[in-house]
Amino acid sequence: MINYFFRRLFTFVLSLALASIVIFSLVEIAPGDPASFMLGINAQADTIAALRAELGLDQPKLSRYLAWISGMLTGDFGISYTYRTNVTEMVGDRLWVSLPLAIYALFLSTVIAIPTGVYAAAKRGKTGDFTVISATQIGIAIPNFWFAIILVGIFAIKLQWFSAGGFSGWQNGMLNGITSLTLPALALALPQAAILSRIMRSALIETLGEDYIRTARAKGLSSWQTIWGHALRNALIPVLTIIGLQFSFLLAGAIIIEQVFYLPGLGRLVFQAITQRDLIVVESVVMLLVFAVILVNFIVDIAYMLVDPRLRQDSI
Amino acid sequence: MTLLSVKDLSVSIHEQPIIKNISFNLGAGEILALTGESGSGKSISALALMGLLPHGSKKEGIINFEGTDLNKISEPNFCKLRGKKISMVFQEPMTALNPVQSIGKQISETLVQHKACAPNELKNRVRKTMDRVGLRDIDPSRFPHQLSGGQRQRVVIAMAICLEPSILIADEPTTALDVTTQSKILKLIQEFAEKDGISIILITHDLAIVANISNYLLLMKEGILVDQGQPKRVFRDLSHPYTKKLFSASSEQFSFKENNLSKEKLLEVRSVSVNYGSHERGIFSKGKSVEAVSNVSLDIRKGERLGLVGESGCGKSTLTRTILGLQSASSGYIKFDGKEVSKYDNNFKKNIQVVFQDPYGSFNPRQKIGRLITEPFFTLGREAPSETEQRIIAKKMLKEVGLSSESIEKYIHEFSGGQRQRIAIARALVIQPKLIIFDEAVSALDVSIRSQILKLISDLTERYGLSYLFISHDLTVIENITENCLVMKNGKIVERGQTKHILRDPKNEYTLSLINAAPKFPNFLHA
Amino acid sequence: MIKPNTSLQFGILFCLAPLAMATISFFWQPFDITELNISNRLKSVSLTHPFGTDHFGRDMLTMIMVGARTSIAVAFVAVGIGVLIGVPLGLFAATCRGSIIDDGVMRFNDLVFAFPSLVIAILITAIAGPSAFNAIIAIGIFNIPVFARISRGAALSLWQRDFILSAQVAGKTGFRISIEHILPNLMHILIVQATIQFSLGILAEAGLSYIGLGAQPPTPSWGRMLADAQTMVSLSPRLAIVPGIAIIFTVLGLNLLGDGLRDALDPRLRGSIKK
Repeated sequence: MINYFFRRLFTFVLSLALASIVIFSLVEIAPGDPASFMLGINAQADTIAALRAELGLDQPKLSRYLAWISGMLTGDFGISYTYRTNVTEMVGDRLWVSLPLAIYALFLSTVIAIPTGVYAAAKRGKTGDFTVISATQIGIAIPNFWFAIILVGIFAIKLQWFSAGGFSGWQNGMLNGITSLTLPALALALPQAAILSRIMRSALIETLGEDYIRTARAKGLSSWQTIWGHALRNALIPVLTIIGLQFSFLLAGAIIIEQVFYLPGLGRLVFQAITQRDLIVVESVVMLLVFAVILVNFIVDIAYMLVDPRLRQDSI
Repeated sequence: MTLLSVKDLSVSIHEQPIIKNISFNLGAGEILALTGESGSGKSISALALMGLLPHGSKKEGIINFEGTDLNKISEPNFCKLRGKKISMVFQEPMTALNPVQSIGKQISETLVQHKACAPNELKNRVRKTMDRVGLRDIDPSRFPHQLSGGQRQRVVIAMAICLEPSILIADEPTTALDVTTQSKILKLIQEFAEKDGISIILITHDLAIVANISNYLLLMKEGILVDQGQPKRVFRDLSHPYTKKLFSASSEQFSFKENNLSKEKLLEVRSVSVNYGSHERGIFSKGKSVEAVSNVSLDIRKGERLGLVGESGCGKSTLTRTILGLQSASSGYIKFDGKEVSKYDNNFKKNIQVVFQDPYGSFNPRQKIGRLITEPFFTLGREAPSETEQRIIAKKMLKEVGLSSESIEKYIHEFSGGQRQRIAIARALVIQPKLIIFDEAVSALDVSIRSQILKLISDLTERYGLSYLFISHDLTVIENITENCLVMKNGKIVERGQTKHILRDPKNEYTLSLINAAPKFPNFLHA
Repeated sequence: MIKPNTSLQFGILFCLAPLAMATISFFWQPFDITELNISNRLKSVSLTHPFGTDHFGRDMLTMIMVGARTSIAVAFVAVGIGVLIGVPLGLFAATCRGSIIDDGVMRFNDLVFAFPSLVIAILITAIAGPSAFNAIIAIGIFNIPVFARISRGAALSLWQRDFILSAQVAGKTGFRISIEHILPNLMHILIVQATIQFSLGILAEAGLSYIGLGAQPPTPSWGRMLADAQTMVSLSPRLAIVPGIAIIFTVLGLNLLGDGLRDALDPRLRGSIKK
């Protein structure tokens, strides 16, 4: 067990190190000098040089990389080129929108997907199953930003139940914040729920075909008892992986949805930072998102170990 | 007293009839054997009795158990019977247990489900049941993957008998187990009938087991009950032709011509050991290596037919792979025709072929038979005959193994298991090698087909003057087809000599236990 | 329950529609969409304009037809990149399974998977400038690990099969075995995966175009049409609905096609159908 854990931990750290190098290099080859971009077209060469020195851009690449990494490790993400403010604070603010949105969407998607997937698997081959499959088939095909536009059209413009966009912040009350995140979360959750529901269904059907399910039935368990007591826990293993992946997707992939709803989230921050050549922000936020993905994968791996006793002991 | 009476039971799956009108009675404490070859519908009959048929099945007829018709009973009421009154043991102990639950929890589930005892007694009952099935030293908190196949089967049995059911259905309970474990499990099942008065329905393809332990037998073929009666009578009279065919196939002894063995050694394996590095090697764990084959030496002389007997995990597959050059030995050497074998030794590759156990996995499903059979010509390189010649040879070989030459244009899924093994033999013979390794080549086949394939092997090798190494776990097969044999255990050769001598008068204790455990027809049949 | 063939038939039907539209648009377009005709703006559905006109007075049907070209081309080439690089990589990794090379390929896969695809796509288009070509590269890169992983996994299980052993006994090299025995046996998995990635590619292209990083004006694209429509949603919801339906229709068709092909190509199922 310890062995498994350390092996995962090693992979985790290695992935982070590799990812940081890739991100740094990608941003390095991006055209456009931040200093000249900040000062505008008419800036003097010596002013630009002075600014470059101030930003540390004249340092060799390796020392800039090391400075960036050590800063990240201590929680200091540097100073934004464009806004001249602390990146850590900027990211912190945006995280308060993106993180609740991702959790909210993931919650919706899981709550919709697990029961429908289980239901379809239990009714496999019957009308109920067919209905769920058809619904998920369409759900997967719907682009989430289109769904978002339609949701705005119906619930914000026609019915006026929700605002069409923007985020009022948490200071006006928890409920207010949740309300303004509801439509974006719904738009994000629907296609994810469709995918998750299909995976839940097929994982459960596969598990229900296993021999030990028949053994359980032979003990006198009813078919629902078997699903609940034996199949679900085994079927949840692949579902868990997808939930993990979806969380990171929802955290980062919300850029387009944030665009539709004018939400000040992480995705929009990166998007703006790229167009403004605010490289330090780009680097830091992308690294943070990659960190989230790798961390979630690491947690899922560890969760596997808890679910599956076969992984708990070291192999001989 | 009749406990269960089945009348005109028919089952169809997706409109296809699987079982047609079978009727039988089961008395209290009786052991009823349900036998037949694969596809005869014996397992489906068991599932029909349990009410656990797969989706899309339909059943008709009457299954009368203690005055109720199990075909008409509601599902919730059936649930109350399953595990309590009628329980079942399955074939595959490796997959019959939930991998993520402890065995104790899985055994107690039967008790909890039927509210058989107070929660504080549960632990006690589980312990008692485990002791009863011979799991005295096993902690209930262990997980299935920590147990051996035999132990897992005992867990499945424990779950089935903890409530002392009236009927225990055992579906090929020992087929997946080694022969020594098999005899212990069968003894345990027999005890339930004798001591506890549990009626047993034993499903098995092995007629020797049927003859040894059942009171009554039902023989099925393609969903129809073809013969039934007390085993003593059925096997003595052999009144039904199908019974006769099966019986003679399973007790067949065919003699083959004794070859004059030349002194010349064809294959020489000397002190070969193979270490398997632990699979999970990483930075934090030094790979611990396991010695799968340890200091094995063997010779195959020209024209010799050598057997290698051993139970699963004894290292025989690793040895095969090493001889074939697919696995490197950690010490020792292998010589062929007096020359040490290297990876690029063409003379060696031209003269050795192999036939595998699994008739389904041995062929690329996307190539036609013609292409499959001629693959070994690749070893000949430039010396290989032209493609047209190859096809002529392939057609000839197909005829030799008893298939039509038109088969060359077909795909492998169009053939049955027995036919596939014939094709495998044809493939091994096309380049006329000197040595063939048969790796459990008949183990996956039904008994009547098995004897045909054995006969074919024996005929063809004689005609082509081949030597072979025949690897099997089954002593009767080895007895029939080899003149010398080796017994292997835990990677070591524990006994070697003439097959006849070893089987009659084993020197090694392990060989003796193997011979004793192998199911044999009881003496009353020969009288 | 839907029969496998029904999925396949609907899938082919649904996929043919956008494909036909794109092909026809090369030879004939109902209206000229390079000309803006403000007097004709926001005309609703009629015989001359089956889908109506947009806020610049362009015919929506023509826009959808020409937009289909962009979507299909981007997704197709992106899948091609994934297949051509990912499959050999996966086969190669499976051939030297357990070695450092295999480890390296898998690490690379994990690494690409760890990047939020959209963010990197944005980064790439930002580095190289927004264009349909760069959108292809950005989407294509993320197809590589998908195909590498799936072909490695399937190849690994095939390497365990006995028929590979007998090919090895016949002295065939890993490369030859991969081409002769492994690749044909995972073709059906790859075809199914390719249709799925194709549909994801269509969605991704629409997304990138929507935020202005895909095809640039004047090239019409379904995603751009949606972006333009967003401000008009209260005025004319049709502008958003039409391209949306086009996307859903195509993606749904591809997914149905994938499902249908999975059943039709599975050799195990094929055997049972014949019986």
